[in-house]
Amino acid sequence: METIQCIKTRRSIRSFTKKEVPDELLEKCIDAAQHAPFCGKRLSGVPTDYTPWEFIVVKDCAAKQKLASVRDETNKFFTEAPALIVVCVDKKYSDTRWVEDGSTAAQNLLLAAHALGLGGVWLCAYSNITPAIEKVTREVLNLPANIQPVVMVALGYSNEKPKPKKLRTNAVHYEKW
Amino acid sequence: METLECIKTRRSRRRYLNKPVSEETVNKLIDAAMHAPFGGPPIPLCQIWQFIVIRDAEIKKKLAFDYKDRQYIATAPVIIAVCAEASDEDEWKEEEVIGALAIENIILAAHSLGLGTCFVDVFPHNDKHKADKLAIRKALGVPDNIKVLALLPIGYPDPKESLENKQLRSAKEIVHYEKW
Repeated sequence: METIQCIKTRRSIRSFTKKEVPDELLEKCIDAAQHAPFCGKRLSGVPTDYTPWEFIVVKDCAAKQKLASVRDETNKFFTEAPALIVVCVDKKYSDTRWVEDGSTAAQNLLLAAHALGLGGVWLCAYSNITPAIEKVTREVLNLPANIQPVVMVALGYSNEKPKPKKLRTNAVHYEKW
Repeated sequence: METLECIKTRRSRRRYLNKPVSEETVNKLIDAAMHAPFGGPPIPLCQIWQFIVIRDAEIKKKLAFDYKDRQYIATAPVIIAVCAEASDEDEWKEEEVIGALAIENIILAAHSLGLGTCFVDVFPHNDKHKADKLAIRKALGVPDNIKVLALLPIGYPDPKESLENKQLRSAKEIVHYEKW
């Protein structure tokens, strides 16, 4: 799909068919994610093949249910989605910009998913949850201390037609606010 | 450009040709940004983004400071400052994620339109640069409830810019199934 068309026709999908998503397709989306920009490359001591991202793919129903506790009101599609992907960043080299590094990768992942005929939605920003909830995620996923979860997304085949979207028109300022 | 090809061939560009970028093109980039997800019902009220389009040389200079590694941003024909409405400047909230999703849309749309850009951060969560953060806010005249999230210098990329080879890790190294 053409890039700008992909950007404009992507919608958040919260209802999925029961069809499984092959790992190969998930890994294509993840490959797209790791082509996002990131900071930290220029720091001393960073390995040449360094990229900050790690991805945990969760398909197990019990694990999905436990992860759903991070957001009560969205429980249903957490567990209905064939796969949850938790986008993580290694804080060893990305301590001040992990939110941005994780989020730009998540958007690449969602756009790639749309281009490949999948639907998805981001469910949770770990920059905005309590330490207690983050602890649940860390336990379920067995994350080492330096691996920071940033965004969780759900992926699957869409089972909905979202309503048309209205965009705001007063968001641009010239030279100054 | 095809989406996956666009994602995979995008690189951060820091040298630009002396060729203007039209207002129409800038508007296309901002339209792409507005199509990012924002975590709410699909109505204008929930779209917390704001964009400042900067062409003025003096303001661009102020945004580059005296830092050697930032001077290139003043050489871009346009800088888009991506901002979001926020309640508290010091807290890490969802607006930083929502902002970055929109920023990635601009970066990809720019590449697909033949432009180059680079994600220039505004010293997030970096106490050493508190004064610089304030200087950026002052240069842009943003109100207190608005968080500046990134500066995106936009221009036609100089084909003579040398880019380091990009090395990515294999799926085996970065994808974990069910648990770490």
